Amino acid sequence: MGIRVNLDHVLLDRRISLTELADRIGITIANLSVLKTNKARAIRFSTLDAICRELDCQPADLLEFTREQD
Amino acid sequence: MAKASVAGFVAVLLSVAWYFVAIALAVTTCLVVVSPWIHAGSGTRIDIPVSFDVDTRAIHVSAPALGVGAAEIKHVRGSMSFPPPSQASVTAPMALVAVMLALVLWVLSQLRAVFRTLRDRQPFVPDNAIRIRRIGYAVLALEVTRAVLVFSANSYAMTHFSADGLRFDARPDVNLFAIVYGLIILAIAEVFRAGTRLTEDQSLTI
Repeated sequence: MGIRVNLDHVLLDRRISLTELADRIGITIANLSVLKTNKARAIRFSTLDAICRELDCQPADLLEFTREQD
Repeated sequence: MAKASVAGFVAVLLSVAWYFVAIALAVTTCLVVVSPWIHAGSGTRIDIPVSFDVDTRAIHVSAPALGVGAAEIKHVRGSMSFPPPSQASVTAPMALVAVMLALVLWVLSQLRAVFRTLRDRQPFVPDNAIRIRRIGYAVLALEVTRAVLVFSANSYAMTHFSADGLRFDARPDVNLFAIVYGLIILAIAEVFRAGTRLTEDQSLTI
């Protein structure tokens, strides 16, 4: 899939660990890890809303589209 | 899966059937292996499926109470028992039975694996869709194999045996219900595959 999740970059910028973010937004570390490692198939608006709210960022900071070569 | 559930009962039945078929397969395989060195006794007989037509002039069928004067018996199927003419005629059917038992054992193994995932509360996995599809193919293969064996036995009887008042013949005997069951299982496997994909999507939606 051409959508990449840049959660690790944003976390690094904000100096917040995955565990801390998981605690703050009420999502398990396992699920956040799936998101961070680009294994997720879909992301709920509610999850995106919670992450953006907590990290004070825009969805575009978290998601990036790259055209894949066939 | 609750212990008292229907699925639990079926799982136990499957396990019993698996061990029963495994023992039968082991015994049959041993017999196939040792049969060339063992001379079949005079009391040994083999059974083969036969198909025949009876001489309608010799056999009169009627139902006076129903007002039916002349009924005809057609396309009779049965089995014929006779002393084996050679050792190979004992070994070959046993080898075929062993092959079919192996196939049945494999199907039961697939079903047991499906029930294990049910017990672990993880039935919607892609492996189960593959297992159910394999079972569908096996049901079709078993039916086709059975039909070929019956036809071969019918042809053998037609070629080598004769009887007064009846004429052996060989007709394809495909059980359409078994074919339909196989196709239904294949359809269920496809539905299951779509279901597992949805479950996977759901579990990877964050």
